[in-house]
Amino acid sequence: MRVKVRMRIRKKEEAKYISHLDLMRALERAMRRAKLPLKFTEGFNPRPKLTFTPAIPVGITSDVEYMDVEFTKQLSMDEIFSRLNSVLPPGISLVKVDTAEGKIPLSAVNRALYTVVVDIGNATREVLEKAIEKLLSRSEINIEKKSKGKVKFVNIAPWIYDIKIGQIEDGKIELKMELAAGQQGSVTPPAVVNALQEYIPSLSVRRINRDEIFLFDNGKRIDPI
Amino acid sequence: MDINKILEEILPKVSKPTRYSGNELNIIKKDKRKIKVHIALAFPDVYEVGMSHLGLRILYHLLNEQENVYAERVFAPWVDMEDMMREKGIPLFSLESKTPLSEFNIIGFSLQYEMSYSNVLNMLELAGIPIFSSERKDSDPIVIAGGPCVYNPEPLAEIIDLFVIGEAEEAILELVDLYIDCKESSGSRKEFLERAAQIPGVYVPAFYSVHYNEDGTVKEIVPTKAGLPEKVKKRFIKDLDNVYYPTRIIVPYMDIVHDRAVLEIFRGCSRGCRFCQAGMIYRPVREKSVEKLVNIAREMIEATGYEEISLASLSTSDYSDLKKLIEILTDEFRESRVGLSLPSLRIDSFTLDIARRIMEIKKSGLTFAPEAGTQRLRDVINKGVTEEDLLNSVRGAFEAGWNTVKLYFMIGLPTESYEDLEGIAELAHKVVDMYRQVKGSTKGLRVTVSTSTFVPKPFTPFQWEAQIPLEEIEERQKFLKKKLKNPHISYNWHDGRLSFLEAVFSRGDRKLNLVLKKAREKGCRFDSWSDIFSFSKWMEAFSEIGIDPKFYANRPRSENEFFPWEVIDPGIDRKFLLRELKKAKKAEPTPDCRFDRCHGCGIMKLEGGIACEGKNED
Repeated sequence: MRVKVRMRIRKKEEAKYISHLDLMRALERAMRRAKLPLKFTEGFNPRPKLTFTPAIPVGITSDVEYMDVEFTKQLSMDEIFSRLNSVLPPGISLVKVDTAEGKIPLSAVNRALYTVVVDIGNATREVLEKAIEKLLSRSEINIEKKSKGKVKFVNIAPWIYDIKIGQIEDGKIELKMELAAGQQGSVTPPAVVNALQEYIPSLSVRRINRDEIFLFDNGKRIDPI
Repeated sequence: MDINKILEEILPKVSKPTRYSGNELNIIKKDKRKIKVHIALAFPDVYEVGMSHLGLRILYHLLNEQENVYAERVFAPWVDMEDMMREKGIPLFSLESKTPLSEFNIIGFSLQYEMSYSNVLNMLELAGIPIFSSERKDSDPIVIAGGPCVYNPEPLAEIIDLFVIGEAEEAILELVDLYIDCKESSGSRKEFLERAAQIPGVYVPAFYSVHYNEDGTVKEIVPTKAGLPEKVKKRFIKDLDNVYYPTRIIVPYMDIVHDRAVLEIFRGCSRGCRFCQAGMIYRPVREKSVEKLVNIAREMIEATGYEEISLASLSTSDYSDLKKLIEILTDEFRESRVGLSLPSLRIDSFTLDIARRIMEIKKSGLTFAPEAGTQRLRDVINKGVTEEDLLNSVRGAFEAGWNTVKLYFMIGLPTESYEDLEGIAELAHKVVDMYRQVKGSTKGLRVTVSTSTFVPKPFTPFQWEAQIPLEEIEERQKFLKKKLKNPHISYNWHDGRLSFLEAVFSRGDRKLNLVLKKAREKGCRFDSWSDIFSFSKWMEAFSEIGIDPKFYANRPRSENEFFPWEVIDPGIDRKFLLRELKKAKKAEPTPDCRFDRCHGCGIMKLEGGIACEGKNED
């Protein structure tokens, strides 16, 4: 028997420095503690079958870490939720559990929303608005990317869909960013912030959270759950 | 200073930030205002190394079981973090509550290898605690240390306030009680240290003075206060089956060196390999029962979710009920796919059968440690394994489907000649031939030969022996490199310069405290990390202090020389060690006393005749 279940997981402050790989390992161990009927791969080194949404850089909290997992037995979603949620490490919690059947594959997501709290120092809101406007109008924003020891330049401009200014509280400003996130291309908030710093050198990040991740297709948004 | 707030800023910029963030599963947090003793368990290496160490895990949970005590962890920050901390003025802090180390009552260092000493000094420096014991005031924490290195405490005797010799489970609680008692009376460190020195197993070097001979050797080490023992006897747990063992252990987020549930099956080893310090100082052999171990394993897996259990001991195959234990564990965990790993296994036909059972669940590489290349030299070191045993086991392993074999050897052992080195190469080639014989070709075969360099250790039969000179170490490695040229064999060797320094500190005396301070001033830290290790800084430190390191590493000792570590009594007779040395020179083996008669190592006499399986003395 093969039951595919999708989980939405939240990674909070206490767990924000753990890497994607660490999160995967922590979740596997949590499911073992919860004695969930994991389905394992065959062969000498059996692993549970897990798939995830794209990784985020360390230091970022997230409300939307999705994981697909295969079980060998049918269990109610409520039971999975309560058994697993009670054994998760500090800073990691379940938001929702649902069947994965009939839903988009997790590899299909291509867009994410982020809340980025920044401090702009002595710059004004008007300056920030101007900077964002300029950034969004550019067709080329080249950033350095290191992979396997090689440095190459990547144009992130087509992957920045929108940046909105949200709430302002004691000098700190909330930015809502809509960015590409997926196999076709992706950019993360720290890179966008770097680009903004060209206009406002005093700008610094206080907090970043991934709020949502989904498939955006022909003007329509489809969430993993 | 709000350390948490500064961490927010710097952690995103350092490598592996989970080394410093804490918050792992099963971490223990307490209210600092509701405890009486605040202890920092300090490991002088990075998080992933320190968290892999069983002793630290045991003491962390044991201490936190006590209502009055809050034990936290601290590791050496990696160099990028250290730079940030120095730049921002952040003192070394604990992982759980992010408290500066200087605010703790007691700091306990775990000393596992000599080449971590520079990190001990660096950690004290980062904590803002005076390096030398004599410079500390009542407001400074008490700095204590334990672990295998403290069987020769002298190289750190001016830095550490108090050493706990041997297994610490009981002594540490006695120290905690004493601390609470002293805090309620005078609260002075002097009173605490004076009373602590009365606790069995505790060595307070400030109360012992060292006298030297004209030739620079140590004449004697004598207590300077009445009522202190001339030799500090080690502590050990008599009833291992009922000693505290943690099961709700911390599960790190990051991939640590040994990332698995560790099941300690026994302590001590009676094989009597003559180079091996652990085999001498951890005597007597004490086992845990199968029933107890199975319960511990079950509880541990339930509390951690680990996918692997590792059986820990000095020589796994010597556990009396190994077959039964493995059968029960493999049955228990077959369905949940929890793998078993058996390090330190002597491979023979019996263990090969066990290895096959384990392979049902998980495949792991095979490691053999013949230690020396010829039978003569293996007899010298009392490593009771023959070439025939080894090749038979290798054949069995190849037949069972393995194709990766690691062979561990030591070079520079007493009496070693180039013939013995040749033997290492020949043995490796015989393993390749065996594979060809079994499989018809050498396709897929990988043989790794690793050599470390022999370091004479205190309380071993070879404590009188010299290490071979550094140039000779490098010569012998070069020789092996040439002899081991084969597409299926890869050769690794341990940096000879590190082995040389290890030899200096393992048999060093109190004079070396100054060298350590000097080396630290020159920037030495993380010496066992090859990309950071600086041999030239160490050599400068020695010459500036005016000490010849060869005096410690390369000098053969006379039979009557008093050794600085003999202020400690591990329960092993000097006469036994000397007998063993003489037998070594004649290449005469001494069989394991568990299967032969008692050879009179002395451990039976420790604490007036204790449980030891040997019955008849030599």
